[in-house]
Order: sequence, then C-alpha cells, then structure tokens
Amino acid sequence: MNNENRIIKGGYLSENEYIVEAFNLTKAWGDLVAVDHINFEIKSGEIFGFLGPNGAGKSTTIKMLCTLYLPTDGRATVGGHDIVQEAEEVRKIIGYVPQDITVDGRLTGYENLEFQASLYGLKGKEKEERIEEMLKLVELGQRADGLVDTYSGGMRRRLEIARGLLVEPQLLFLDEPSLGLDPVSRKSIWEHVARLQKKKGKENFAIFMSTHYMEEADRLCSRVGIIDRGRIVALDTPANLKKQIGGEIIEIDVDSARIKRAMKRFEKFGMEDQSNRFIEKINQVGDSTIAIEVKDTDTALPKVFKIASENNIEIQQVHMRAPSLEDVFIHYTGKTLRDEDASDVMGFIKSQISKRLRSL
Amino acid sequence: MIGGIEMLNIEFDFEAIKGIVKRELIKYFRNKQQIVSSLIMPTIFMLFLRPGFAGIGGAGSEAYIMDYLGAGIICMVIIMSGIMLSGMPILFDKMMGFQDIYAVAPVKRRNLVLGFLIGGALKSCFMSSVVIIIGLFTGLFPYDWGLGWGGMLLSIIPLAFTIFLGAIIYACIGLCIAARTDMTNAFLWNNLINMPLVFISGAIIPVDAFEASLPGSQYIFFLNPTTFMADSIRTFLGGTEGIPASTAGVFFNGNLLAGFALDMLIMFGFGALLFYLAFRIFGGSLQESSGGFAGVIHKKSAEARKKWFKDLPPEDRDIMMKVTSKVNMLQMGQIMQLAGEGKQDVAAKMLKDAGLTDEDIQKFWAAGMRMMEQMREKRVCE
Repeated sequence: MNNENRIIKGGYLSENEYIVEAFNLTKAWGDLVAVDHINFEIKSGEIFGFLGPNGAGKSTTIKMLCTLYLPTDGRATVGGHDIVQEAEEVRKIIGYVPQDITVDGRLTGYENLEFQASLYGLKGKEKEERIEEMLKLVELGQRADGLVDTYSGGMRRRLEIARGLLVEPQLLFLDEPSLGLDPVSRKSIWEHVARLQKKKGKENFAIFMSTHYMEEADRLCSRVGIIDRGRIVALDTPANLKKQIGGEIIEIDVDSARIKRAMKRFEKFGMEDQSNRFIEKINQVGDSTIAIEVKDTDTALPKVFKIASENNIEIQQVHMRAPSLEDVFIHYTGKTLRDEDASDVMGFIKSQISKRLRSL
Repeated sequence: MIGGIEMLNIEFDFEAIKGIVKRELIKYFRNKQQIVSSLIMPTIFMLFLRPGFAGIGGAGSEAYIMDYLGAGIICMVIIMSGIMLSGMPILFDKMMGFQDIYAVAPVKRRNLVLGFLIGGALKSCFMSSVVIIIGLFTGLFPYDWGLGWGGMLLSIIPLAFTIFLGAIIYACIGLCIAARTDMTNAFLWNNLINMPLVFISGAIIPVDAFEASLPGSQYIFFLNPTTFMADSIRTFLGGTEGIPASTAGVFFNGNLLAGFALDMLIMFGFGALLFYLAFRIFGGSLQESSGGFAGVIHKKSAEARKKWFKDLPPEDRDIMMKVTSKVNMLQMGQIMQLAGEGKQDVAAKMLKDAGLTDEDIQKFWAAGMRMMEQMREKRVCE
C-alpha cells in the first residue's frame, strides 16, 4: 500500500495495519495512576491478552479503548480512529464484554440481544437471523425465551459474549471472560473463544482480552502483555516469553520460618560469586517454596543440594519443571499472581497482631 | 447554549429509541408487584381522602373539593411516577454496570436520553390513566362543556396532551437526579424534590386561597410547573363549572381556554429548560468522554514541554518547542519510529502536513540526532 494513503486523520498506521495502537496511554485519578504510559499495538487477526493481578490497570485500559474513560495523557487509535476525537467511529467497530456480568436479568436472553441489536440499528429479518445465529453459536437456543435471572453464571457469560459479537465487531474486548466461573464453565468459555477465532478467520477480527488466569492467557492468546501497576513489563507470544527467562525452574520446599535465610544463602553462594554463578534468579513463590531459575537442571541440582547441606538448609521437597507464564510473571514483577491480594492482607494482619502484642 | 443548539438538529435514531422504550416497558409491565404497590396510595387518596375532606368543607363546597383534590391527586401521581419510574431503572443500570453497554454503542447520546425520557413518560402516563379510571367510579368525569358525552370525549384530548407533557417534564427531573446520585441517596433526593413540587403548587392547595391568607404568595406557586399542569388538568377534568383555574382566574378573567393556552405555553417553557438539563446532565454522565475537549488534553502545555527540553542547547530547544507545538504526541512517536526505520521521507511529509517548513524539518533532524546522542551517552554513564 502506498505510504501516503496510510496517513489518516490525526494518526498514522504503521507497517502492519494495527487495529489498536496505544501510545503513552495513561489514566490517573489524582495521585492514583491506574495506567502509566503504556505502549502497545494489536494486529488484526490476533488474540491479544493482558495478564496481570487485580488492580494492575487491565480494565482501565480496556475502558479507555472502549471510549468509556477519557485518557489523562497519551493517545490511542482503534481501527485508525482516535478514541477521544472520533469516539463515535470507534464505537461502531468494537464489541465490549465487561468484567461484571451485565445482561439484564429481567429480560429474556432473546430480548437482551434484541436490545443490543436496536442500539446498533439492526432491524427486521437481518436482526432476527443474526440473533438466532449468535444464540446457536453460544448454545443458548433452547433457553432463549427464559428470563436471564434463571440462567447459570456460565450461561450469562456466554450470552454476554453473544451480545458482544452480535454486531460483528472488528475488535472484541473481553474483560476477564472467565472470572467467577467454575472450571467446567471456564473451559467452555475458552472453547467458545477459540472456536470464534477459527470461524472468523484472520480477516478483520481481533480479540483483546484481559485475564489473571495463566492458563487462559497461555492457551488462548497469540500475544500476551504482562501488566503490573499500570505498566507493561513484558510483551510477546507466550512461547517467547517463556523462552526469554530460559532454562528451567527448580522449586524447593523449606521450613517456612527459615525461608528468608535460605534465600539469602542461595543468593550468596549461587549468584554473587561470579566464577561459580549458576542461578539466574531466586523468587519466593509461597510460604515455604523457593523457585530457582537455572540454565541447566542437570548440573545445577547437585550444586543446590551442596549449598543446602553446607548451610544447614533442610530441603523437604524438590520439584523441577519448565517455566510457565506464572514464572514469567514472577520473573518480571517479583511476586506471584495468585497470592497478590491474599499475601498483602495476611501481611497486614500479621503486622497488626505484632503491633498489638508489643503494646501489651 | 451551544448544547441547546445542537439539541435542535438532532439525528433521530428510531431503532435505538424504540429499543430503549421497549426495554423499559417490558421490564415495567413484567414487575406486577411494583405496579400494584405504586397504585395503592393514589387509590386510597381517590377513594377516601377526597370524600373525607369534602365532608369537612360543609354543605355547598363538597363537589368543589372533590373535583379540586381529584385533579391534585392525578398531578401527584404524574410527579411521583414520572420521577421514580424514569430514574430508578437508570440507577439500577448504573449499579449493575449495564450503563456501559449503551454507552459504548454507536448511538448519539441525545437519542439515548430521548429513549429513556419517552419510556419513563409512558410509564407515568399509564399510571395516571389508571388513577383517572379509578376516579371515574367516584364521579370525577372529564368536563363536558355543556355538550354531554361528546364534550367529555373532546376534553380527553387536551387532558392526555397535558399529562404527557407533564410526564416528560418530571421524567427529565428523574433523569437528572439519577445521573447525579446513587442508589443509597436516591430516596433522599426524591423526597427533597418531590415534596415541594407537589405541595408548593396549586395541585393540592388552591392558589387563591393561599393568596388570600398570605398576599403575594401566588408568585412562589408560579415558579413550579405543577401549578400550571394542575390548572390545565383541572380545566378538563371535573364536572363542576366555576372552579377558578388559577391562570384563567388571575390573568384572563375566568376564560378557561385562554388560561389553558397560557398553561401550555408555560409548561413548554419549563419543558424546554428541563429537557436541556436532562440532555446535559444525563447525557454527559453516560461516559467521561463526551468529546469536544480532546485537543486540550493531548497538546502539552508550553511549560511542560520546556521542562522536557531543558537540557538542550537553546537553538535545539527552540526547534523542539516549535515542532511539539504543531505535532501531537502520537504523531511524534510515529515520526520517531519512521525515522528510526530509515523512512525519513514519509516522516518529513507528516511534519510538512503539520505546517512546518523544510528548513524547520532539517533543523529538527539535526536536533533530534544530537538529542539521541546525548541520551545514549547518559545511559552509558549510568
């Protein structure tokens, strides 16, 4: 395509015809910076995922791109349209499935879709056909005339996805599509998303999803952005991300009371000594578990045991595995995804208790 | 008043309006409990309050009080249901996050507002119709103009028009409240606005009676649209001749039709004002970005930019300031990227489109290169 043709209103589509381009996108409420100057692009035809703990800024980013929030700084385009100045144009090409389940419980499944269709100006036969097709896609045809209040959580989520797709968007936003669902429903949602991508093919359709389930990101996404405290800390395909941290992981269980000391010892003898260095990184991943990133397990394992025995560290369990996305997350942020909230709360409670004890 | 002008050349999106109205009505009529419970109070007022008060009045004034209060109770129904039935669903939508669904739809905000206004007003009209039908059993008939049945049927047309206009007015108020509050405080606001609208008006209290005991007080009543709505309803509902409809009585020497015309005119005035407010307040609350002020956000202030370039030599700083005043941040990023990829010609074209001269562009490249050098050195030092 001619270069000049690609210069569009206010923006410029670079080499690969991105459906989303974000440049220094920022959202702050006073001092609270939810999204902090992030940059990324989404290509047409891919499933792009944001992986991060609660409060990392995933939903805020999605809401900005959906024209619900006004960015504090930076810019973004969706389908070449500025999300602020050409909000109306952006709205025409996106589908949005919010994090909270928002189908109307007092309406039937069919009526919910009908309402959505009317907002997008669909009418007559086309509307009916489109609704039927969507209900079939998410396997809700049988229950279409039942009140949504009588649906299960998984069914509501599927109805929501159908609603998001009803208007044939070029970009579908799925904000935590499997949040609060049991494993079976979650799996069925994943299957639906995967089937959708297959059906729609490569042309003119992309999904932007956010999640805090590793497995979800790993299975579905063609590229994953790891986001923490409003910043993208890593962005690549899941395979490349895992490759980046390289090597393998040795997990050892030790006495939880002495875990800090054990980590310091491993750091001292495995990392600081340049000639003997065999450990890439050490992270605590649980109350009593240390994850040691190494290049090669075969040679590293004896060394780990040697350090342990020399320093009186009692190893209760050893486990070796290839790195998962979770390890990538830990590698970049220094904390686990799952325990983020829990550990903070526990830390707070512990500090409160010790304060009380001291004052006694 | 730019918003007001925009409001007039509205592009109607009938599908969306129809969809919203349909949703509102389906949900309303499906909730039988709500309908029954909200009809209890007006029914009791109609059946017991009116004859009770009429009895106190003594001989001769009974019919007068029955009719006067009848119209007043209908006004009360229009006000309360108008505000509640348009506001409550929006509060629920807000709480459930459903509002995002129509906020991200490519529908003009004004069409959304119109849909909710019409939906709310229709529900309110339904409520008041039911109360009027209950009133028929207690002898509260449309005014017959001395023409019998035909006259009564004739009265229904202006009556229906008044009720719809009133319902729209109070639906506007309901939307404004719902846009600015949440579930917990809604009832508080509802009372705060409901009570004065009902009681500081000619709906229940006769304006002339109050004026007689407190001279000048009628002007307070005239600040309330309810006074004129009650007036108009009273003209066409009630069998007794000679009820002094206040505008007719005060301004037109008892000419009912002239009074009605003035009532309508004033209600249209109130309606236009509240319409405008509903568009601004509710329409604006649908999302943060209602557009329009984007330029301010993306163009950095001169002070902020000065800070970025404070380490540069003065001539470089000048050209950087000049370029960044013409090119926004996204374009800047793209220009940098293009230059990095060796496509200076395309980047130069973007700069030229932004209104920079060739000389400026040359200077900008030179300054950019020096800046990059500087940054690289810094990084090496660190």
